[in-house]
Amino acid sequence: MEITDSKKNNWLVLNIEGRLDTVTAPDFDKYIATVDNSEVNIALEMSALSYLSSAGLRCLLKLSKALSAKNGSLVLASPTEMVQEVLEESGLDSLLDVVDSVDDLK
Amino acid sequence: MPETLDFTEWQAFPAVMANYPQMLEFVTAGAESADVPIKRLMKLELGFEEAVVNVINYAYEDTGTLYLRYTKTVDDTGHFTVEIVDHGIAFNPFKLEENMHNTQNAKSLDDALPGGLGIPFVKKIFTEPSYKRENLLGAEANHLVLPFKI
Repeated sequence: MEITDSKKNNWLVLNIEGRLDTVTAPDFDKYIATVDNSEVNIALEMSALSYLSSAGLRCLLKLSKALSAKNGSLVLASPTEMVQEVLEESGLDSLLDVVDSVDDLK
Repeated sequence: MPETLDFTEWQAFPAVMANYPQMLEFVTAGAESADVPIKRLMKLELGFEEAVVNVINYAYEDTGTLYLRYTKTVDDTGHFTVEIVDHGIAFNPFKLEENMHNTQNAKSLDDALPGGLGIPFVKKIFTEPSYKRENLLGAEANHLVLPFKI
């Protein structure tokens, strides 16, 4: 899994490539721990994320709650079909904000 | 489950997370050789990951062995079946799931718990996945049978 970052308006956009599963979930958490505390609005650009499992869902849930506690938010952008299915089947698609593209970020 | 299914030999793995990639490789290689379509492999991977990680994380207090086997071909009902055995503490993941999982019913982020997210996928992805506690491979065992519809 690779993560690169960029800024769009007041959003920190994290482009995730590869898989977010039981193997890479700790790496995701480690990366998030390095993000500046002042970044409270984070968008995960997921068009290159080919696979998401419950381990990855836990990362997303944890991050979303952490940002929410700072009055910020987590948005998931451009999920692939597989990722969208996993979000829907877990019910997290109704709890997390999902947009078609980072261009939709306000 | 029909007794005539043609399974591979059991393959043993130390039940630690570091071996998960090899476990996954064993099963996906088997699925490919059984002509499971590529577009279905990711679904199989997801279900397998959720089931096997549960065993790795909870079966043994210390170290132990996890056994895998799979059907060599897709059977007459269109299923590729994976089996997971461990000799750890008695644990039926399908029984626990009903109590643990509430994310699907969570009304807000605050209600959503990080645990219990995996087993619902196992129940959805596999056709009537089953659990049995029985004497298998030399000791009392947890035995998961996971039929995957192509």
